[in-house]
Amino acid sequence: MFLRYLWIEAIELLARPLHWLGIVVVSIVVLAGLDELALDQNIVRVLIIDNDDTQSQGLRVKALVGELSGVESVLRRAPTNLDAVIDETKADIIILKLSDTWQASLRPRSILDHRRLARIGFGLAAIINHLTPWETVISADSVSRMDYGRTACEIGERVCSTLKAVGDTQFKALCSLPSSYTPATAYPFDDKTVIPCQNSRGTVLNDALGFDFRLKKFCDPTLVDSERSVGLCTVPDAPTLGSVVSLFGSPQSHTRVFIPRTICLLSVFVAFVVCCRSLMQETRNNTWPVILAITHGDARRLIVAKLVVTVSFVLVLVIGLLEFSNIQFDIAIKPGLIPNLLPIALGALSSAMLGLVVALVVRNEVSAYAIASFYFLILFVLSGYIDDLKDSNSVLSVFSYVLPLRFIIAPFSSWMTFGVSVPLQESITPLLSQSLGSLALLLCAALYRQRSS
Amino acid sequence: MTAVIASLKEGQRLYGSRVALQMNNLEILRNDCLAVYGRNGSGKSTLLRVLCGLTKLSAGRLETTSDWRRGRIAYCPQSGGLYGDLTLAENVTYLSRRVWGRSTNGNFEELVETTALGDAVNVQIAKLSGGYQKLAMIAASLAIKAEILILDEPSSDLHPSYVGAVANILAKSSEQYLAIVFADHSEELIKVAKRKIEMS
Repeated sequence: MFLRYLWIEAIELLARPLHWLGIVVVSIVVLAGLDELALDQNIVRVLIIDNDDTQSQGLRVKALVGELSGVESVLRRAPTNLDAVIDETKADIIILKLSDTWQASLRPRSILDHRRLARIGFGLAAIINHLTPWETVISADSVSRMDYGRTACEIGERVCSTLKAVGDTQFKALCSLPSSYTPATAYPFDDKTVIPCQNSRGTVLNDALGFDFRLKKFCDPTLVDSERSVGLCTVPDAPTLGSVVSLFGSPQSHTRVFIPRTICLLSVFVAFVVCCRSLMQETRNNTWPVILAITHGDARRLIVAKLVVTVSFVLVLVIGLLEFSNIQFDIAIKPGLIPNLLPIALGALSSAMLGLVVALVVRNEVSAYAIASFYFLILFVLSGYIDDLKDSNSVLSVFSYVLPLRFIIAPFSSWMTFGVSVPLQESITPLLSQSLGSLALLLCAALYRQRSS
Repeated sequence: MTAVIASLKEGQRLYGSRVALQMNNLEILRNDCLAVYGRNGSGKSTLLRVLCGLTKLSAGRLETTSDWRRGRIAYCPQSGGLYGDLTLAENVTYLSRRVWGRSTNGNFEELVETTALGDAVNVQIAKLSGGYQKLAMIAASLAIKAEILILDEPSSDLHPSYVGAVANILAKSSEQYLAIVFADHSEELIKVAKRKIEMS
């Protein structure tokens, strides 16, 4: 019987292609529109401080910054007046030579800035200290075992984790060790005891070793393209320079941060709209009593069917948007799709219940549209879509806890961007609590509707 | 003796302090065709909604047999009831799927044939006149496979000749249903009922 309800509700939605197709098209347009935002036009200023007379390393660092991130930088000397130079150049990232190493400092203008600048700052400093990743890795045999271990950990972790996040299949293949690989034969030391690569994710070292191992197969050190004009190596099937450079990308580009967030926002809002519309049109056509009368007024199966169909539609939409992101933005669908869709499903379920609450209480389409608009704005501002709230104890912040979007952005973004899955317990528990709140609201609304009809 | 399949005892429905329904005793018999009539605001529609399970009583109780509870109810509301963006044929298909199928008693086909509804079967409900929309809703109620038929003012908005067509169908259909209950002001329709109840 319940399957029949599901089937009928699915037909009710699918029989109106203008509705669901419109939602899909608009969602794709919104996502594609992110690429058009002028956010990336914010200039990032990089200041390089090299107090040596020749500034030979500084010049190389300057070239490297440009090569890696596509950002113009300023090379200066500041033996005594560092603060004044920073103020004068209004630098966001300061790359400073300290004896034999380079250090990156950040002067972010906002939390968002801090995140994107930290990403590029860390990358630049780490790479500069080891020249370039490929030179470091390829010349791994010439460094000490301990240094190699540190290098492999730093470079390998950064390179391979980013490669996975970027979803570059060529690099993904690079980061996996062949089954026949044994450290003893490939390297003249015991990597388990010598390489101090402590990380909670045990795959990091293997990733790094795999990267090094496979890169060696591509690039004999004598074949490295010194100009790096076409790629890492002179062999044509080696990884392209662009692939490596894209590991860090331009620090000016951060609209991509909004892609997973926008998918989350769409999933929650679409769930609200689809479920609210589904019930509102029953009210508008007065078909609600006709359908309920069939079962002597029992609305439970009908409501559950509407929720299930809505959540299913949202999941299909999200998978479609993930595929679109893969095609349009080269953000590959990472392993662990199903468990990472669970928070989305719960968030959509909770939002769909809120949509039903509105449809049950207001019964008036104009009011429903107005409430949906306000719901969207509140989601946009208060749920962490733009950024976290400054004061987590403020009244508005507490209010944001009733929004399902708040609980799904972080785990979904983490998975979609970096392939890192937040433990289910951490992401699901707050969502379950929030969903229970939505369920309580729904029950109250159903009771109100029953009493007033 | 005819079996009672539903009875309303001391039924009262309040909206705030306003009494919308006051029914001391009502019995619905097996194969009944019960007409409810009375002045506007006397509680006819509320009574029908209570029988459908759509409205809960504030006081009193509705006692029903298992036959009534198991039976599917085809309810024709006073207005609306069909999806405006679908045709009558699509609405009937949609509603039929909800109740496991179409009725085979031929009432739908008869109503379509004896009225001008045939021309409107494949027209969007929203594009039909008010009278046709009402006729379409009655037809849809007759089309679905249900044991209980409840109609709320079926003659409203209808041309007298169409009221006659509906009356003919109701007159001969009581044996096909567990019960038919309708509320109306039309004498032509009321007179075909087996029993009549006036509400005041």
